[in-house]
Amino acid sequence: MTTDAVARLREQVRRLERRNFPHSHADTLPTGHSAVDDHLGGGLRTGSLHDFLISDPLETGASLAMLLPILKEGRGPVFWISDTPAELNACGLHQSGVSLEHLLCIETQPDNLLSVAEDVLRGPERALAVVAGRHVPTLKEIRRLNLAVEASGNTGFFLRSAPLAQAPGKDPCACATRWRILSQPSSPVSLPGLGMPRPGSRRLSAALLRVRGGRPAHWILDCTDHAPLSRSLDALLAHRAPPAFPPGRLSDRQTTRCARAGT
Amino acid sequence: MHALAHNRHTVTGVSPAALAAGLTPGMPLAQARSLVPDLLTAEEDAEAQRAALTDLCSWLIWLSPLPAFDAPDGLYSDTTGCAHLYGGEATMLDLVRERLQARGHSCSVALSDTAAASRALARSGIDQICLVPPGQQKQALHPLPCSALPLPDKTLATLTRLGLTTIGALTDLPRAPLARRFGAQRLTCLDEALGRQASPLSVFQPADRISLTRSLVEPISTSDAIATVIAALVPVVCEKLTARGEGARQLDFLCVRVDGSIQAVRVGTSDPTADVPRLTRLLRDQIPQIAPEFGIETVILTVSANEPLEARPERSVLPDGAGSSETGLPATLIDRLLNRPGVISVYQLAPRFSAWPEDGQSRISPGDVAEPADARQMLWARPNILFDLPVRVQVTALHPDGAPRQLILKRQTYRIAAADGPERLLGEWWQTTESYGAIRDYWQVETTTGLRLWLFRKGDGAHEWSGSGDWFLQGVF
Repeated sequence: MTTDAVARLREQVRRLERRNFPHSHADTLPTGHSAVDDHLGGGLRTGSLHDFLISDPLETGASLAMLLPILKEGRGPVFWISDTPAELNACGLHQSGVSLEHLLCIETQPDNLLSVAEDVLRGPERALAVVAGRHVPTLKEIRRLNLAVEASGNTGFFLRSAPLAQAPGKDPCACATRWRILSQPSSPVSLPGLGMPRPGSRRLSAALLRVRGGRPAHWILDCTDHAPLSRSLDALLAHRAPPAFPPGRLSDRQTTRCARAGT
Repeated sequence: MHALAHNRHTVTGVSPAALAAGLTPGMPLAQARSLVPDLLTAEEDAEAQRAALTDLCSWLIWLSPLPAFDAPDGLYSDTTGCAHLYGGEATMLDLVRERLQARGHSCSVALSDTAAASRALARSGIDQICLVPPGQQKQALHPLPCSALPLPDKTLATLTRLGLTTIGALTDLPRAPLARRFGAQRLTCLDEALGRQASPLSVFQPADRISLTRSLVEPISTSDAIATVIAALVPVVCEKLTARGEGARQLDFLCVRVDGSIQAVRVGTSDPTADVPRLTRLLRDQIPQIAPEFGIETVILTVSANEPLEARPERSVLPDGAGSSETGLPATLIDRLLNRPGVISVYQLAPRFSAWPEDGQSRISPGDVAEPADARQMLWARPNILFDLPVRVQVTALHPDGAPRQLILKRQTYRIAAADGPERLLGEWWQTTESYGAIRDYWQVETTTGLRLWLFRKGDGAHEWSGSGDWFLQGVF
């Protein structure tokens, strides 16, 4: 067999394996948690879809705590596609390190959510798309989007509400990974002079329910970006409102001190 | 219409009603006012008149490709070889007058062998059509007054004094004494009118719209066929745009159906572009909006708004792997989204200085994020998710420092394990009276299940004027 024929066969195999795209070399988006990255072989794969199940609207923050560092790593602008007005907060995102210049929010009608997402993901432009909608995409719709992201190398993230009782997340999944991320109690930090302890570094319970070509796993993750006392202690204590003591409960010494301070 | 000439106001233009009342152009304004006491006058605006004339001149290009100005209130059009398109010269002149009247102008039209003769004929006969057969302009000009020729007032006055009132009288005179008496320039004027000497027109080149019309051999109705037509038209339009150094900001795609109705599609771009794939894709996305019904027989693609294309390098000179071009917002994709049916809004978020967090950001159109992200120091963490309408919750607060202990939201009780706060925010008393003295104490709390919430209490907890003391959930970290 000539080398020409071998090359042709190789090309056929490559096409069958959908690796004939220029970005086929496995590019990953690191999550920032070494345990997760090791398990997934470097992070979440680009050119695929990732499914984040949100069990409760209040738990959205936990999924975002996982997702935002990934979006920060990703090259290309972030498209936040939703069928309701996005409840994102510019100041909070800025603090999380997401560049607001590269974040574009798109609000669509509920019927057009996935077609707009496909348009963004299929286009020749680099894009990361976060699709937040109430609609649960069917396998067919996800496969269609899968073809789009495979062709373009863009990455899509689904943020969808799936209450734990109704949708345990065991149904078949065409996405590359499926996550359910819940909040986990952190270890609070007690400081002298405060009635309540401060929240410690954020802790997440990340369940990898499904992963293509891999094993499901579960981790308890500490988010280091919310490290306790990331600012200096005097700054921390400076901008607090004075505790509202009932007038009669101040001791004599405190009263005189207040009087001297002119309050 | 009046204008200041030689230290007095002179009437320069009159309406038909004023003409009937006996007013003529050239009359002093004072005299006109004495004739008609309730005369409505307006000062002449030369600039606006010139703009309107330019407008009319570019409109006149339908007649022939060679229109020219005859300032301040006339237009030439070289219609050599055009008359048969409109069914003969007489029909053409009727059509010109009809269309000009439809635009609200009263006009007199004249057609002859030379531009100068036509000018003289048109200006001498107000509101009429004058068609001179070839080679007969001398006879046509014979009875006209000398003032029809573009001669200076001084020459005209001299001619009148000499008794030469018509052009015919002027042409009958021997040429040599005439040239000696009035100068060669005056004679040239006469020669041009009579066709003895050719005078070129300075042809106006109007910046017309780029518009392509294609009549289809057979009516089309499938989306594939429309896509093919678009793919055929867009490269031609882009070529024309590139030749002009301009880019399209808005395209109109009109489909004339067999039944005569027009299906119109309009797409806009965020920056001037002459990019074939980009415009093709924009238009192709609109195909579902077109209802061909019985079929489309004519398509028209018009660039309805264009701007100069900014010269910028197509690609960066250095090959960039993860350069700025990758992270920047792709204009092509944003155009597509903005023009797409089903998309409600496309925006970016920008922080804004405001006392209350729910007003702390603004939605801006894509690509407008000029100012760097908010540089003001924020000591306290802000949540990623923020509710525009804070949700009322019931909170059991721990006295004396006011930290919340327990929270009831939608009949569900959350116990609070840790809290950070309070961050005191003061209302914008300079904006509204309700905000005067308003205080909110914000707390970041963590429940025993690990939920991180952003709560606030209206008021400082001690004074009624600062707030009601109710608790609200404003965001989720």
